[in-house]
Amino acid sequence: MMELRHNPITDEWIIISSETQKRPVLPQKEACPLCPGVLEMKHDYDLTAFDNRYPALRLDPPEISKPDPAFENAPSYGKCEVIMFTSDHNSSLSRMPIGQIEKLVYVWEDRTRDLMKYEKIKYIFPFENRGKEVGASQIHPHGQLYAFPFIPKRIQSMIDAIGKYKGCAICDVIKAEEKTENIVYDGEHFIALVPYFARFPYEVHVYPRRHISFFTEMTPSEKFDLAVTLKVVTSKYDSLFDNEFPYMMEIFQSPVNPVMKNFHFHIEFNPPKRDKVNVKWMASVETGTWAFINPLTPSDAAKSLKNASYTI
Amino acid sequence: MNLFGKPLDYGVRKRKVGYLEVSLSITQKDGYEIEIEIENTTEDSKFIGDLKIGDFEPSEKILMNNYQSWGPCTFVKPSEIIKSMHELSDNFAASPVPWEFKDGLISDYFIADDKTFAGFLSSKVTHPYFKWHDGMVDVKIYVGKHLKPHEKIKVETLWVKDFSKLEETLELYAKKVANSNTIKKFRPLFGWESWYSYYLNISQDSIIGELDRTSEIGMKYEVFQIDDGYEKDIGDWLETNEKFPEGLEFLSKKIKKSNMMAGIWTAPFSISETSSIFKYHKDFLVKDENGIPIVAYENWNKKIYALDTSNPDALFWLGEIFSTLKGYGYEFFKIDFLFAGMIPGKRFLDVTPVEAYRMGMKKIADTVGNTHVLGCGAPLLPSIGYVDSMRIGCDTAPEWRGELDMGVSSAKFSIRNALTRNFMNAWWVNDPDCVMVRSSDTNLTNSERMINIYIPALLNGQFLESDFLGKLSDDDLHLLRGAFNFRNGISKVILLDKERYAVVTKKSINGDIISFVNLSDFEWKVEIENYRPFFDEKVDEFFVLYPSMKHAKNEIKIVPHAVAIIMHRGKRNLRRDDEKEDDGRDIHYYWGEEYDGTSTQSYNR
Repeated sequence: MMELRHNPITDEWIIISSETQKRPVLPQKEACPLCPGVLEMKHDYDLTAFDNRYPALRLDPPEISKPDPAFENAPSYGKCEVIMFTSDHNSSLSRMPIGQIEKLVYVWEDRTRDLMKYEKIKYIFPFENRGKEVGASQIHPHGQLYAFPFIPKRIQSMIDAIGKYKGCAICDVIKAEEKTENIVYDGEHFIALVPYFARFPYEVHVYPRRHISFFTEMTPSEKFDLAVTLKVVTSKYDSLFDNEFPYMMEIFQSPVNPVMKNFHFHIEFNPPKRDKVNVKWMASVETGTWAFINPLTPSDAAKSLKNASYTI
Repeated sequence: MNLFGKPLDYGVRKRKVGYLEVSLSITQKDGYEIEIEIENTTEDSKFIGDLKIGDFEPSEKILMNNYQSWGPCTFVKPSEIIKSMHELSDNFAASPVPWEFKDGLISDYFIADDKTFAGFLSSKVTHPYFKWHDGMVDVKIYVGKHLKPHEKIKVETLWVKDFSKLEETLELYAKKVANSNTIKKFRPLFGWESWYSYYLNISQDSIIGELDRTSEIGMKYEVFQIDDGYEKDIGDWLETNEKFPEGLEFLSKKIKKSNMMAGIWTAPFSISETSSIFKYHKDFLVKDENGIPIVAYENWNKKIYALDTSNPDALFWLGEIFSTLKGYGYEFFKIDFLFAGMIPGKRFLDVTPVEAYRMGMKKIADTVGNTHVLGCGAPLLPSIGYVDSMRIGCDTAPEWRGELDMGVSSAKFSIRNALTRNFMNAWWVNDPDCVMVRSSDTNLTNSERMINIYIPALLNGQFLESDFLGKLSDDDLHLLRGAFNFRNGISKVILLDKERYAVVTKKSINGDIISFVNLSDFEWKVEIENYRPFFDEKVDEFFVLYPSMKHAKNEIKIVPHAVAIIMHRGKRNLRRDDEKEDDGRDIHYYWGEEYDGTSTQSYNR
């Protein structure tokens, strides 16, 4: 079953996809389907982007049957891609050379440029789930990309907030946070910080200092600095509790078709860990009301992350 | 340069020198190549010692090179240091012809002044060298054996070139030497070794403890090498002392179980006065004219004698040691104090010291076969073809020690030689000696430590770390991991003066890098643009200072004993290949310009 279903109560689209149930879960290295020559890539590679074998969205979605008039549905149009960061099974953003992460930024840019050509695509969302705590099914370093035929609910709330705010909220947050101790990494073109309003313990936001909306607007120097910033943040995460730190990394660009000009590109790291052993679950309050309870004061999280050592 | 009193020109020259007729066949090949043949013209067997081929008047400053791993390769003004050379006149570690230091300064194998380079292309039979004295340089060889009546031997070829860029000439010299010798295939290794943490105080337990820690810190070491301190005595290599109760095989198996090559240190041409082999086999030793064993050097508070590698029984004994160690599972052999094998003296066969040395080296190389041999304290040119890697500087140290440039341990001069001898990477993997990443138990400043760690990485030679792994802080480990990403590149070293160097690295894991190394005690202002001829322009070019990752301005100030590492970046051009899966799915392959299938391998397990 693949289709989009509209929830008239919350005015949000739900993706129904039984295909994703079939995906393999955390195999041993010998059987890693993402290693060169095993399953997904027939030969050696540096980086790749490929259509997910178990997609929730596809450019040729199956036909759908009309539901009860009380409901609305739509074909699961869109694209779900897997993006391989490196052929090195044992690597990670925190351990990859900067040049490799820089190449990944170029791949994200290329995927964005490619997918925005499809008029029915409205939002392109690259992300990475790292660690079994956030449902990663493979340890081989990779991310994914969803190209949605609609504006997802949280993105819509960002758009609505932009509409209400005078100026740019992110530009102002950067100015305000620069006066605080919440800066985790102060790069040439990007800044990484634990925001005043963090939802997750150890949440980090990465903002470009320049008000840009897409990867495609970044200069080579900005792409390089983004790579550096991602390495620093993820390396600090791994140092924090001296283990592979799980996180959800979400990359927010402007909607496409039509492009929204005043959207400020940014990246959020939403890590579930509240300390070395305990996880903050998305429980009833968070899931039911979208109201988050953060058990760690952001400035304390920032202090820990600031002091965490890192490889560059 | 004058050869037998006449300026250098192509053609054939012959001259009678004592018992000998010396023939020079001079051809023009990127300069001049001079093939040298000597003949005993008498009816008697004659011992041939040193022989002068020619001379020249050098400029005030010369680039001199010592014959073995530890010795300096540096710019000097001979007139300023000649007095201190005198004390080396009985030191075989300094020269196989140490008596020449009594009234001169020796540069072995090659020499350069402001405009002329002269270098021998091999040392398979004789020891070739240049002797500075009284403002002149003599071009000489030391033979060190008898020639039979009318015996004729071809000796080392000399190459002479006037140059405008010394660095290019050194590279050309390296190629010519490589072409004149058989080079082993090699690749640099990353490993751990015990010397600079434990020195002689290793034990079975401490080795096992460090072995366990290699997996705890998550680094992908390829080699784990036990250094000096396990053996019963110098020469008694297969007998361990009381600190290693279960012997060497036990440890090699443990190391292999940890997925690393097991490495072992020996000094195979050295025999101590207290060893069993000395007691029972004085026939294995190099002797003087009176049949008294010659002391090659003193160390470990003992007299150390030299193995006569021309003696078939001694060679057999040597082979047995290495075949036993190989049989135990060792795959990485650090062979040290090798100069002992080349001291002049009386041997079982009437061969030159160089020929004898090469017999010993061949025996070891043949015995260990397709494993890794790291030469140390070794005569350079005669070792080509027998080692996979070679120490090319003095022992490093956890302190700077910038005063005595005589081959004694020094962080400064170890790195200096890694820079000046970088061109030798064409003959083997250069080993600049160990890196020490520790921030405690060291007298190196942070900037000196950066030099010690990052220059070996940038020069992409052997990368052997030597710390108490359990004492490394998180920051220390991050420093090591960071350095790891500067390996795999191809580096050219620009020799600005004896204390300042620029290193231009292409295609390291972290991309193209320009580094400026200031070994001096003074601040150095560098303008990057002045080095433009050494690196290409990039589209949308920018420069980033490592590790601050801030954009570099054109002018950079480098404090004393520090390195400025500058990442040279620009727009990336990823290649994209589109393919279709059998089920119709799209797959896009992206390739970075530098991708070779190995460059992205991470340091972690």
